[in-house]
Amino acid sequence: MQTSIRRLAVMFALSLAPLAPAAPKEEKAAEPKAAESKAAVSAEEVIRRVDARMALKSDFKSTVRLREKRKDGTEALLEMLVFRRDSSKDLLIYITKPRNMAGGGYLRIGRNLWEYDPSVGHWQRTTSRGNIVNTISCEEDFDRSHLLETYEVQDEGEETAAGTKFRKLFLKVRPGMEASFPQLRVWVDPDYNIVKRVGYAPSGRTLRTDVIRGYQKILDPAAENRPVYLMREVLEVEEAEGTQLTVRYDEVELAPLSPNIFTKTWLEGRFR
Amino acid sequence: MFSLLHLALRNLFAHRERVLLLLGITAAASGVIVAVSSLAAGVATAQREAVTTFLTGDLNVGGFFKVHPDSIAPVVGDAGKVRGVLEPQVPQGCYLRERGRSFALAGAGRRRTGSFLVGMDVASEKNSLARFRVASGRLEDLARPRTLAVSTTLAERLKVKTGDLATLFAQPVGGGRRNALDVEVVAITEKAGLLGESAGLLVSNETLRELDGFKPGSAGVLQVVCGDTPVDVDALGTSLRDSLRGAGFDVLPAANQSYAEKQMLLLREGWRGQKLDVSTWEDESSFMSFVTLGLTALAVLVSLVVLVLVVMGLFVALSVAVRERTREIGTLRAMGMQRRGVVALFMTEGLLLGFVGSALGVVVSSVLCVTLRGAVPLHEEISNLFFSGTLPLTPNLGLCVLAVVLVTLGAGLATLIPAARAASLTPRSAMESL
Repeated sequence: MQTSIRRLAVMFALSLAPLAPAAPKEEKAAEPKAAESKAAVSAEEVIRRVDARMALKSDFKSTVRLREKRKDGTEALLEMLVFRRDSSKDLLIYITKPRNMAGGGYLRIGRNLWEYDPSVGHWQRTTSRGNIVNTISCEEDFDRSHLLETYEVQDEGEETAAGTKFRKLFLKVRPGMEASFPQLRVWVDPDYNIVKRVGYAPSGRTLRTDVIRGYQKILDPAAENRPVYLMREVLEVEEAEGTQLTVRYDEVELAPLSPNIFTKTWLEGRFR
Repeated sequence: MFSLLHLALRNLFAHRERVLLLLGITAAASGVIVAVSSLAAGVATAQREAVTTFLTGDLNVGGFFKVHPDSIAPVVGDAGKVRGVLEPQVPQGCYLRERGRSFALAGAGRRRTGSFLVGMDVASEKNSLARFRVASGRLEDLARPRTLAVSTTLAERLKVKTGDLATLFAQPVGGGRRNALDVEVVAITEKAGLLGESAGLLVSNETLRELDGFKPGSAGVLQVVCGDTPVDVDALGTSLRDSLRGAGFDVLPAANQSYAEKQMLLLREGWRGQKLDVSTWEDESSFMSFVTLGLTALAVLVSLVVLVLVVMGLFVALSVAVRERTREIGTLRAMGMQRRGVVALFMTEGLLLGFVGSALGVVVSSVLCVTLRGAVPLHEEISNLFFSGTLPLTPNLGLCVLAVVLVTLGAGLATLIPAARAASLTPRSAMESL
């Protein structure tokens, strides 16, 4: 997708925010302020449109590349295949690189996320907040967008950066729902793309700050070639640990997948 | 007798400098004995309080369940039936509470730490909750599903605060597959000695059942809690074992081991099904008895060393005194005092010195112990060992009396030989020393 110069400037300005030196005190999830301006579109509608822009009818396959920089200077590069079928909420993550981790992966069955360790052939249950491949990423980073069904939305008005107005929304997890972040604050651009999101613990402590550096427009063949806008690159920052993770969603394919993929047997068979 | 005491007192007043020195020695000796024994008693009290708050009741009826011979879980499957057998036998002034037992790995971000996990029934633990010292948050919030209270030690390790999220990982019985549960930290409990690290995770019984995959109606352990009500736990334990066997349960024999130690041994056995276990608080804290036993041994050793020093010091001082008082002794003998009288005089002086000095020492030491109790902060490693963040000193009247008796007897023992020497002097020797 062609990105305008102005939009690039906005992305750059927002991406610099988490890289600024950490304040001595942790940022707290302050109580959402009343909307400063009467926006034409309600907060729920904004989130509904955000979800809709990323909703898929086709099966999803992507090569996801992770680059993690830790505070101590160590750097890790990982690659994995992500398979998704949103209609049945199936998700499978298959690690391909580095070699010592290859063959491992994650499989969601119902509401349970299972982690597979190929070295011992063991499946272990993990949670939505569990660290995927021991990075700061979690299940939600590779899942479909389902903000409206997971969170209650509160409007925090508009915020202007580099001449562009962004809708600022505060999301609180609905009772009984599970989410990687119990509280979220998101900044949405006029095209209903999330450009920045900050996840908080119930205490208000910042867990992670994400800057979405770019989206990719793809036609969904199962939905009469309706365009969908999926994330291309995300910068995730965990200030407490001083860790930065860049997540790139490459080689996205929207095509039917074999139902056998979403099984333990399929993942177990890869390593053999 | 009275004249002898009068004479001894006059002699003591006549040699004030030496007497003050010897009084100081005996007072210091008894003071050290009281301080060390107060520390041992204080640590024992703090340990029992921590153990009966976190781990155990005065008496525990737990169980071990084997789905197959190669797995074991600390759980009572049919807790309702067991409770039915126990309730009629709970002594007056005691009550029954349900706790859970498990081991879990707690994680926050990429940090991980393992600890024993304790399940609680918050609604029925109103009395017990007050015994936990809470640094932040509310233990009552554990009634909410998927919540966790964590000790200060583990909170620092995981870098979590009240309101933060953590993940618990556990190995459900027989499954071989690790289970995980996201939980919210609702309280942080103060340090509780070694238990702050080894048993620093508290959840509700429901959360524990969900994590470990236990069915509703199961329980980790049913605990008889008596607080200050005096109960013979060994006799009650025997009675409960008989009742449970009578009700058709397979009950393990009594053993001075914690449930975790028994679990390791029972894992090797080839049976399957349910076995119940009745244990006292002393059994459950047996793995920590090295602390109190060590301190008791230290108190005995220090007391012995101090006593030996007192005896030697007094012996030397009194031997010198006999030499200095040759003329006085000779005069007494010349005036008709018998050898036994001279021995009695010196013995009375020694015993008076010992008694007055040790009594003074005990009083000063006890006052100091009471003043310093809870006022001296301890280094983390020491506080873990002593089960208290501050110096736990509990002066005990019995130990104070024992210190006085021991030091007085020591002083009497030290006086024996110098007194005998004094008695062996003849009136003629007094004349020769003029």
